[in-house]
Amino acid sequence: SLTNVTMTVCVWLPSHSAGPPSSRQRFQRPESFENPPMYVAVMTYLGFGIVTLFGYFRDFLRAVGLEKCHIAREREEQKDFVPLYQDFENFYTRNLYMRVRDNWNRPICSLPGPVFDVMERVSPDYNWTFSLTGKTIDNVINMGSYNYLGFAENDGDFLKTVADRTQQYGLGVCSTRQEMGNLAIHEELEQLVATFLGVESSMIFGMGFATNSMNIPALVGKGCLILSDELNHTSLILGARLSGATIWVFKHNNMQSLERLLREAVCSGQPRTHRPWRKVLIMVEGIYSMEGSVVRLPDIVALKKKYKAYLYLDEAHSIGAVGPTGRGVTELFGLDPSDIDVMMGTFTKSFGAAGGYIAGKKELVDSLRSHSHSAVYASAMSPPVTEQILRAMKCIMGLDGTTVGQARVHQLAENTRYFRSRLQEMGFIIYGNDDSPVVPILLYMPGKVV
Amino acid sequence: LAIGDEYLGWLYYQYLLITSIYVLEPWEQSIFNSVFFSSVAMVIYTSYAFVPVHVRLALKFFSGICGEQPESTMALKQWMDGMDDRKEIGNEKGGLPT
Repeated sequence: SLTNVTMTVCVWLPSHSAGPPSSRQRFQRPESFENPPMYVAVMTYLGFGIVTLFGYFRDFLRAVGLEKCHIAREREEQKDFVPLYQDFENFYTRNLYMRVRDNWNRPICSLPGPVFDVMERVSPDYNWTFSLTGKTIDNVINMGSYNYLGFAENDGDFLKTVADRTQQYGLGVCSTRQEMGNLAIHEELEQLVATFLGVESSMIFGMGFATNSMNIPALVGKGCLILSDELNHTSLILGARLSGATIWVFKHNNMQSLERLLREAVCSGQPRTHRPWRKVLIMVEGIYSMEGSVVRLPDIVALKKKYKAYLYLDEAHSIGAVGPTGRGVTELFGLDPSDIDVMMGTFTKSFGAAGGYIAGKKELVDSLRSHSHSAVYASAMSPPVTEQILRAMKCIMGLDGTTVGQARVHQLAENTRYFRSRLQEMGFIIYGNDDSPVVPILLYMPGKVV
Repeated sequence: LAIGDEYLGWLYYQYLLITSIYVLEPWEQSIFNSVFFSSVAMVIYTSYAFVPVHVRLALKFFSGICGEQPESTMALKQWMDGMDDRKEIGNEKGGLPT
């Protein structure tokens, strides 16, 4: 397992200006997943080997008693019972992650803009315990937020409507969508999302992860087949497993693998009875958040039409961030939005809020309104968050009368291209498609990563 | 001299990163450095002491074989002489085992 660092590109890097490429039936740009040189791989394994040896040495010292043990241990009286703590499985946590964990989970004390402030922490005993000094490290460059278009801002002018709505509706909804939580502002947002995407209607949910995990069980069930990409997000996998459908996995972005599975599904049917599948659902993401690769949407749409399957597209990272006007991968490839059966996305990334949506034909969304677990049991989206999404979406679409939104979308595309090309010139190994703002840089050696 | 020091410092830093010693505590770094450099020193000393002798004998053996192909007993005798040579040299170096 080779380690990497994922960075996301935000709007504020300087760049030179050039027009965005046209979207009519663009060909897929080649995606690179190049392998490192041999010496890098050798030194990485060597590095891990050395740290593992020292890990065994330290475990031995802890077992013998020469060193104080900071991890959770059972009491002497419980040693004969079934073990409570699995010591072996925590080996890497104890011996590698603890040494370097001061790089992660650092408390941030400003909004995630182009620069932010971090609270300073010190550790007297090599990261087993931390204490805050009270000082802050200012103006740390932000390379890893999802704030693609910069809508997570605290400028008073932009947030005036959000403040007004908070005055009007308050903060908490205190109910589910189906009971008393269906506010007028939710209906307004749903219509706006449908217009934004070019579909018939949409439905919004309070949490992005829950949008996937709670709605896939409402769409498919036992006797259905889910064909999911190898590198799908946990929320999709969880939703697929909760639904009870059969799950087959195809290789990442590999159309031959997908076609083979589709043919197998159509020819053989369900496992023992050989009845035809009730539904075949292909689950893919617009931009994969860990690799930065973009889905091959035209090929998948062609395959889905040929084999009569349904397509579920999770545009968590790509909505607002790719496409000439920020409408996502559908616009990037110049496809008709009605080709995609279920369009899902989240508002966490480009819109600077929280929550998710599912959009598509009116019948689909109406059935979700009654059958979705999230609509029945989960609290509805909070009014200030809804207004934030409304104002961000209106800004992108240009409905507020300014071109700020479109300027941001173009600036993001420029920054992405510039950032990727400069990193490649410097010699780093970058994964993923040239259009995606998610940029994984592979560093390989654990010493370099931390 | 200051620039040289900075370069050496950078070089040491790169060594720490590449071997992942960077993540270890200072006393563990000292242990690793001492073990690593002592084994490197032993390798260098062994190569300095024994590689020329072995190379010379190997060349002698192979040239003997090539020159006297039908006479396998002659080659064997020459190889035995070579072994005695090595034993003498080993004794010169203070009784090292051959």
